[in-house]
Amino acid sequence: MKIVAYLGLVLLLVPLQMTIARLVNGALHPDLCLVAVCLIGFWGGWGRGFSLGLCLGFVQDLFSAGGLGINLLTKALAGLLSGYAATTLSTLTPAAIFFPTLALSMFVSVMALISASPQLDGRLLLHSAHTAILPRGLMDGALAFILNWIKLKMEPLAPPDMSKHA
Amino acid sequence: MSRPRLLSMIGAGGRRVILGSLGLLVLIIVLLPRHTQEWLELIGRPVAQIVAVPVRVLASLDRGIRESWNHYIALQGVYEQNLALRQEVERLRGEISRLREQIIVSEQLADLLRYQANAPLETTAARIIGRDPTNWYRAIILDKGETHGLKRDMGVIAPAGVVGRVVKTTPTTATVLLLTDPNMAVTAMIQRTRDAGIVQGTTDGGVRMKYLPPLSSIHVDDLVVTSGLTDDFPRGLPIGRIVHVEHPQAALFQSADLLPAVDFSKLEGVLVITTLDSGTDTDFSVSSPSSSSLPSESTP
Repeated sequence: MKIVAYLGLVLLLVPLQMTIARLVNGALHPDLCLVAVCLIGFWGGWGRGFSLGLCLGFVQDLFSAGGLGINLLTKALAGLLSGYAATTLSTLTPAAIFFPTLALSMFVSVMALISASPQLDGRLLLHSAHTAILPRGLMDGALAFILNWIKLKMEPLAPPDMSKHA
Repeated sequence: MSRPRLLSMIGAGGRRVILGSLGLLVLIIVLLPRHTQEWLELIGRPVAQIVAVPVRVLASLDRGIRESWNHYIALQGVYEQNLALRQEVERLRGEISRLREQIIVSEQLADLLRYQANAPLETTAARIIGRDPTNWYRAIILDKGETHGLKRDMGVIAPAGVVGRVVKTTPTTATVLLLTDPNMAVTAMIQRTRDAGIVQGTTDGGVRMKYLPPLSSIHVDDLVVTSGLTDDFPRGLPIGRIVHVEHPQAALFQSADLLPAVDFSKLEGVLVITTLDSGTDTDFSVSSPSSSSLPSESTP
């Protein structure tokens, strides 16, 4: 059942990402796929995060102007790392999810920038850091914060399942 | 055998090995040269076809909502009048560019005018259904792909001028890298002086013409058109107008910032150049009556 839900996520998120990008005319917007991968990693463990990251990254690469591989790699890594980060956290509070998501988003953005920019230098990296990488990381972190807060509100009494982080 | 039992048989160590192998596979894929990654694209084709369905649904939903807003909630008359006037301005701009190009060509290359009537340019109209999902490329997704005859490296134009180039195709969609992306380059020339150079996107979303001869008398407001040296665009398509000329003292070349002829933020539909006979050296302008018209909102 969960596999079907994850497939549904893949089929929904990438088209939604493309439509949002069109609506905002290419302006800065959150990476829904990355946020989903991070949250699944936090909630479901590194195995699920990694697998979903592979699928979402692959489909993103199919429609991206870049070559195949960079999203596949970074999204899978993000899922893996968020799963491992969850094992170090005692409780998955919204604040505890915000900062790892911010860090992962910035990591993914830097990797994508290196891949996408033919002439990357320190000046461009610095410029991108405060015009794109950090703002986008904050957006992703804020979205993960809100979604995790909603999840906690919906199931306030659910006991933590530690076995999934094993 | 039930799934939980299967998983318990594999065990935590086994799962780590499987995921580790997958990770290794991902690394190998990324490290492979791009041309050897084509088999991955083959695997992705059916997936892309499936994903294209929700993309179209979302695009039509978005279009429907926007159309309702523009036609019924906002001022209907003003919107339609504005749209008609904009289209007229775009058409007239293209017409002016075409006429200028024809005058220059008739003076310098009169014999080539014989071929103008038979400009070998076929286009396919396509609608934009999305933008690059990664935020790191300035690219658009079209609702037509390989089944409609679209291929990689085909030029993409709008009535006002050059839009970009097809960089990726699936059976039902195509990804077009826009002129404003730093990875995009087009051979071009100044229409007035005939000086050639290369037009490339910049990291801040602008367009720049490079490698212009140092003694070229270019100035602000000169029109830059395609030079037709590559197989994707014919000669004479408007690219943009010069807004700033830069000629540092020690530099070997001049460069200039351009204002693109196409307003990329308002693009709804484009024309993909599907057939261009590179053996025929003919000037051509997009707005000539022989080219296909843009798709209307209701007819793709």
